Amino acid sequence: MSNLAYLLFAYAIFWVLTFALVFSIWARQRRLEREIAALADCLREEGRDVHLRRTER
Amino acid sequence: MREDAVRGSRRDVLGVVLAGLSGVAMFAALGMVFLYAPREATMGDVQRIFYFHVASAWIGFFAFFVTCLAGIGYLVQGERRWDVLALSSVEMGLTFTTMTLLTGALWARPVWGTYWTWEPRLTISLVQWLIYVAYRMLRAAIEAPERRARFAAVYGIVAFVTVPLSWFAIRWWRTIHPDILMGGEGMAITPRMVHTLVVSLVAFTLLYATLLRLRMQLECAVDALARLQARVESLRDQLTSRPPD
Amino acid sequence: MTALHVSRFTLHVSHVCGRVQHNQGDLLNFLRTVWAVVAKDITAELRTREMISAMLVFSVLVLLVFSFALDLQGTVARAAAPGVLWATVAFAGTLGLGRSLAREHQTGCIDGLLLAPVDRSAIFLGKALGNLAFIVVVEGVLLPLFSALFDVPLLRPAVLLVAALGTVGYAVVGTLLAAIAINTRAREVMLPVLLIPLAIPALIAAVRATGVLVDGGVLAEVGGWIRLLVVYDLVMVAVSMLTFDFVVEE
Repeated sequence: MSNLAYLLFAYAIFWVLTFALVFSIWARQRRLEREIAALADCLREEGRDVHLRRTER
Repeated sequence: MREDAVRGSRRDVLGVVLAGLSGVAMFAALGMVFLYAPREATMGDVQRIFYFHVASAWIGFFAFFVTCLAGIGYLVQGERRWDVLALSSVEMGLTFTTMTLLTGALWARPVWGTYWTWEPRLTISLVQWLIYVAYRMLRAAIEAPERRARFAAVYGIVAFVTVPLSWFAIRWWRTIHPDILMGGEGMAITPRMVHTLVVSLVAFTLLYATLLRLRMQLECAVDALARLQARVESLRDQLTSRPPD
Repeated sequence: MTALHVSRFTLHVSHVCGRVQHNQGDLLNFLRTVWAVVAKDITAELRTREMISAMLVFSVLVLLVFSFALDLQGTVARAAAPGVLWATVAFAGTLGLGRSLAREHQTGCIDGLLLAPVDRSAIFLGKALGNLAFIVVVEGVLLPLFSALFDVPLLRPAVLLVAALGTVGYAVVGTLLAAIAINTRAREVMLPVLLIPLAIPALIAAVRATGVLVDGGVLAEVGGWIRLLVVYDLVMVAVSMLTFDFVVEE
């Protein structure tokens, strides 16, 4: 492997690791937002159930 | 919901500014590394790895320092934000130290014929890398959040104070028995190289700050979710425990 | 046995410390507590001797593995002796440190200790001194053994000084980290991962200094390493004493 190849590989590693980190943070954020949305849905359904139960009486 | 989790409704000005500055600085640093810095006499173009290699090593150490300070902050104040800072900085530090080790290996191979040398900077980076990993393993092995934060804080502090001592020990060890292959840095330093190195350091510091902030925001969102889940649980308990009218 | 043991020990410690004093400046009480903890550990170990014997056997086995792995004979053996010695002590040490704190955890003795109206750093110091004693006992066997096996003069006072300094720092930070490790899911297994990177200054200094000394060097030649060990010890003692409180806060 020529010297320049080592140089390019080294800089490639820097970019790959940086973007891997950013991507990992972004992916975790996405998962979190999905869970929050699911939680919000859950809350809405429970609210509806409670409302139904109340009106039934 | 005024939780930090919903960021869409608020413009994160500082975050954008930091990201922008990092981008500009990185671009400038790259430009200087490849266009402004001179071709090194003995090693040739491969030597250009040096700038980002040293910059990432610096951040690897600085991130550890931040973790130690955050540990002290947590032990003194007991507030979660210090713990968030500590664990975020460790994640950054681990990434940058990994960069140091890999780029160091890729620099060592063409110049000294071997992927690894027990050269002081590489060795201390390896030690720091192992401490970072140990820190993460410690956090992963404790379930209770308060105890996890406390133990991690203690470990972060104790571990960090050994790093300068390790550095001296490794240096003395290496100067007494220098590698026959290496025999010192062997680089002719010119002013242009110094300029490039400084710009690289600044760029990496800005990048660290940007990513650190991102990671901390993620962790705050995790906390927000946990709080929401707790609220939902308590609401659910209240509803199911209400006696039928 | 445990509950009775705990309450009996708590009473003993309180008795030893005389009247209940929250004044932490009382040096005599402090020392009495330290001594009480050390005495408890040593008597407990003397009864079964299980930990020391395990550490010793383990050390010999490690030595065996190194001998095969590095083909230790003649001049190679002499050159490798300091490294093999301190590596062995380091590994056997993690065994002892982990076991010592695990025993506390199991018997619930540590809770009794913490309930007692004494300065917590005294408890920590007592624990650390006890662990130091166990490692020193193992070294007491290993040093003559290595001297004979590798034909290296390890029983010189200068070497013993290096050994003492290195072991003190290692035992102190090891006790702190063992207290942390024991409270994790992985328990004692966590200890080597936490401890060994932090022991590197002491390890390098001990190996290098011992190497110089057995090659006929004098104490003055290893002054730098000695100074490093002293600084390491002071820093580790200071940091451990300051943070131990936070480890047993429950």
